[in-house]
Amino acid sequence: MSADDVAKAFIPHYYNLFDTNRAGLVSLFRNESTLTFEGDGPKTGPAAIMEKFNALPPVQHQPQTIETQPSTTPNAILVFCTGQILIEAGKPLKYSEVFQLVASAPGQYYLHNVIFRFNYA
Amino acid sequence: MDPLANVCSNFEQVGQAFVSHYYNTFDANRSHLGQLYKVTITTASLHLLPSELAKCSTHYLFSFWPSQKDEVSMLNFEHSAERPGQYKGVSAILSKIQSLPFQQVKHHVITIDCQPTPGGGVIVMVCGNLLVDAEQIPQKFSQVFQLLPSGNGSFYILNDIFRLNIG
Repeated sequence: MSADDVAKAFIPHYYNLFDTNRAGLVSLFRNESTLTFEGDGPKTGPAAIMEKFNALPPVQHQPQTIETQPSTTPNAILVFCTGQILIEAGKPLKYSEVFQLVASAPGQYYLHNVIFRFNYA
Repeated sequence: MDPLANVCSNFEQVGQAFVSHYYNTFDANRSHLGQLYKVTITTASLHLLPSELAKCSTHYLFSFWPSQKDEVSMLNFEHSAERPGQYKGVSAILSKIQSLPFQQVKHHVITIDCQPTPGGGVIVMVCGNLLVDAEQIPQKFSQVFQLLPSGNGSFYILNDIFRLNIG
């Protein structure tokens, strides 16, 4: 699979979990994972990250662009995603999000870095 | 490699100083983006307050793209499958930036988020507005950088992804 293929499978899977089974996200993070959400962070490790996610209301992500670049090692991919997010069925808000995916085993990726920002009008 | 080894402990300062420097250079004369400055930034010097760093920015070096690794740096500029915009290496990247269809530009940075990455690197996500030439209405943009240490205390851009936030 190309980096694009990996990202285009991983990111929708990530958002689907986020939107419908948020607890399932914990398996995508490791002790070295970091999350910055709307300037809050970086938070490191699955416990701190899940604590942040669990404090958020129900949301629905609608990704519109997913693009990749190779990162520093052959098993790492930098992903930049933009789209819209609906919060508790409200008006859609635009967002930008950065991910660094790292393969812990062939074909198995975890999230090393996640940065999320709304793009307010 | 231990993923927690070689973490850039100054990642916030590196990212903030870099963002200020990059957009100031872009807006003043974007043909200078590939150039080196005279003095190397060192880890010790990063213990300055961000306000002090900003004042001294001309004394610090960011080798934006490494001279020995001309093929390594990457830029995505409004890239899509329908209209590809991917550039690799210093020459291609600078050529794209210099060919952008405006004379003047002013970037106004609104948010900067920094995180360390394996190997002593820093990921930076910037959101902001930009105004080109005589336009009155700013365009929103987001940009992602991954900076890596050059090994002599300075950092270079490995990854650069730029996108306007339209609509």
